Amino acid sequence: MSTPTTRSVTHATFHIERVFDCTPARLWRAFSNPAQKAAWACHETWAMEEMTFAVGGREVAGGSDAGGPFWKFDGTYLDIVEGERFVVAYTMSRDEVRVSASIITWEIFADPGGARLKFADQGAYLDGHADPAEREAGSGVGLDNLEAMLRAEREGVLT
Amino acid sequence: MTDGTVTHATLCLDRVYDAAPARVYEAFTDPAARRRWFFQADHWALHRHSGGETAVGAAESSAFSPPGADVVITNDSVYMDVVPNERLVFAYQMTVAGKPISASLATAEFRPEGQGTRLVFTEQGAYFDDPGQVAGREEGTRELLEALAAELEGRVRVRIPQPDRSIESFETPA
Repeated sequence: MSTPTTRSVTHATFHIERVFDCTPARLWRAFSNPAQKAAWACHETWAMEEMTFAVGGREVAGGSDAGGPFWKFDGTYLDIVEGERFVVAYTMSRDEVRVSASIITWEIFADPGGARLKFADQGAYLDGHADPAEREAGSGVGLDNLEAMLRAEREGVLT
Repeated sequence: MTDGTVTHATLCLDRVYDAAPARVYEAFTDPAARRRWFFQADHWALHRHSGGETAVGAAESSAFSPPGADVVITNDSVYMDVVPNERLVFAYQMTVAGKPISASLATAEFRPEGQGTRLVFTEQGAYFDDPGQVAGREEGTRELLEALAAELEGRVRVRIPQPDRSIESFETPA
């Protein structure tokens, strides 16, 4: 007999802002080009299943660490202003149980240091399955990967 | 081009209805009911409306105009989480005269309260260009929750807009 799920929703918003040492156009390409996006956003054990960068288009990626649960990101693009801004709505699932639904606004601005990225994640965390602090930390890891990819490119290292 | 501003805000509204959660959920999701209370209350004109399945990934698309106005507003939404009679999460984006104005995540929780239901509605939105949209969205959402009350009572809300918002009347659908 399964235990009935206790329903709950925790709403949370977090913001991340970073400056990348590249042009705004280069940073935009890292988000809008599927191969580029997969290169930094997917963990080593994750794979991009689908990505259509257009309003109404989907981005689906998933994977699992050895022996761990299967995680899935299922996103739909809601808004795109070329080179400047996009909004994606997404759910995260763990072993096919939805743990959250969120929207992220990504904005890119010219900056004296290169390109400034503003990231706002507005999420509904479901039934106690997910935690905003963990999500924020995970998002930071993704941006670390993006930074590493851009640094390797500047330094002429093949990735 | 945009003027480069995005305002992020969270709106929390709730309303108690004198109907069981299953009944409120049905009125919230049924396409025919939605056309009455969501799209056409207060004499708004509905130009098109498609969708109607209440399932994760299912979309609803609509275009409508306020009474007496030519401006076309669109709303495209997709269900993100569905727990029948208990919870809906959906993402939606709106345009006015072809210009995107917002992208939002909405959570509707249908909680039993006595013999009735407390609907807790949370909108987490990104509002483009005009920060004044936040107050407008909150007011518009509150009016929709009132229109849903009228739907549950078998009435169609017909509020004739007045500067002081004093006139409110109801019609019984034919």
